[in-house]
Amino acid sequence: MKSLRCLLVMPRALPGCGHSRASAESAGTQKADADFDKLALDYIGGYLAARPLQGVALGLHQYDGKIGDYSRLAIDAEVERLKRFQDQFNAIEAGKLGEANGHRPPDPARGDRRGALPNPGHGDFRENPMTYARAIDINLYIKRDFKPLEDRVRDIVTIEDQTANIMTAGKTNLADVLPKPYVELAIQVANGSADFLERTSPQQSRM
Amino acid sequence: MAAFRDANKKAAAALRDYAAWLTKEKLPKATSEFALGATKYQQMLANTELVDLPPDKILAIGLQHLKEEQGGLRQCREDHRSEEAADRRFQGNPERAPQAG
Repeated sequence: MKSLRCLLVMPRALPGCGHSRASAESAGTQKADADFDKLALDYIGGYLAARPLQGVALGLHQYDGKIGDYSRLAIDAEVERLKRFQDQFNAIEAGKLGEANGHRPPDPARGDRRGALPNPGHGDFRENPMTYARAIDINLYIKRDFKPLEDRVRDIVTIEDQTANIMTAGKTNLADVLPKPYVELAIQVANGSADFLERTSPQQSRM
Repeated sequence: MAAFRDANKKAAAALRDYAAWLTKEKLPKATSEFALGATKYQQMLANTELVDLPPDKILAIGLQHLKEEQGGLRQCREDHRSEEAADRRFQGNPERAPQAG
């Protein structure tokens, strides 16, 4: 967990990541930092739970074999979660954080260009059909040799078994009228992904 | 291996079905009128790029850069033409050509 904190919250370093704190920092600052650290960890944990492929990409293998839930219910829940965290980050008083946390919390209203705080909303799920066409991404399991091949194949099978559910969610969630270039590209992406899957065999991954 | 082949086959079929659904249900009524508009665009720039400048100002800056780049390219073209003209003169008069070494 310590590595996760260092990895994801840097450069707003958290305590325990080897960064010294000025001894003069007040107890108030330390408490504000501790509260912020806890909030940040809760946020990141929930963020990756909703986006397990990103967790695997970061080398966090508790997310192996998992795929995001694209159902309307799950998306609504995630949007609510993001809004709740937005309020909580907004409530942090900027001046109370220590130097290690950059003196101020991230600005949730703006999101974060590194993707730490996405803007809450349904946009991609409602307006972008590519969201579903590219959802099944098994590349990581093929190109990274992080565990025995048979275990990675098992994860791939678990993920691929969700494909039909994700496409059904797309059909349910997408708006009636969509941007034409998005639709055209999504058709290409979906057919391209199908081509890829039809040609893929476990022997293609690194042994 | 059989489970993998089966899952792959079903996943590919689901993706093909999705592509066919998009082609049949969404493509005919898809629109090219999907511009964000100035307000949303400015909001997007602020949210994703941390850029606070209004779109008009960004366009002006871009056009200014474009003008400068085009000026640079024109200068390159003129320099190149001058060099070509000089080469042609040297070819006509070997005594004026720069001496090697």
